[in-house]
Amino acid sequence: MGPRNPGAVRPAPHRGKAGAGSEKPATIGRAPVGMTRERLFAKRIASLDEVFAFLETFYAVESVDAKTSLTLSLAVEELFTNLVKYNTESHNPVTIRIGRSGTDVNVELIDRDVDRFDPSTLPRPNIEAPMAERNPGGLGLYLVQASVDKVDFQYADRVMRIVVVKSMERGDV
Amino acid sequence: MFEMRTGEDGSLRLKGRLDAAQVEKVSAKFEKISGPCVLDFAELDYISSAGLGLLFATHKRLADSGGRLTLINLKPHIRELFRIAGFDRVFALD
Repeated sequence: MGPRNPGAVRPAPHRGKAGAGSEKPATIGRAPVGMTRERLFAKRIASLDEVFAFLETFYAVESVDAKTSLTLSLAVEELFTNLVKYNTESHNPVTIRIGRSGTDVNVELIDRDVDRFDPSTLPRPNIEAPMAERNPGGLGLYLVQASVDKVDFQYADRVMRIVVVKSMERGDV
Repeated sequence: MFEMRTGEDGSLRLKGRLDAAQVEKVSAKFEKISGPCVLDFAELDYISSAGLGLLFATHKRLADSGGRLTLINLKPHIRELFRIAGFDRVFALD
């Protein structure tokens, strides 16, 4: 984590080096969810290969079933690419944390020193529309919301925090 | 990693992951697809909205000239994603 000035309204710019092996145990928010892993990723689409490798290492260590891992990888990709596309005012790396609490797998994406972006204001895609009228825009967030058990967007002190929870399938834990 | 090659039956066989990073690399190949085309998904393990968008744009372009994409051998989790996106009504899925 980068240094922060507790007296400042805005957090200090993040000084961490993306992709520098900054994995470490951490906690998600204030909830005691047990051991988690955390890493910084440069905010660009080309980081996705590293993001997937990071997630898949966690899935293997924590024996996360295939369906849950596919769903979480999709959610992280969609949310990460949204940060790349829309939070363009800062080039700070994005923190991704992942942890397991019982049958729940929790993922958190943290983007620092960015303007407020409320994904709930994006138009919901009309999946019933005929092809000629369809526009695939907005589909990513819709897929996330339809696939995971919880997705929560928080914004404070110019920090965007997105929390995703997916419960592992019964019998696959 | 994502690969696309032409099979002996003329279908285009997709392999690996069609995520946003791969879409940036392979969009030009999809722009070269013309006429009716079969895409074999048997070895495709993952697709995101970026991949779905690329397929949709290709399908729409072909449809404008009387062509279409037919998708075959989708794995269950990918078929489910098409259903959630409403793309099971857009594409011919076999």
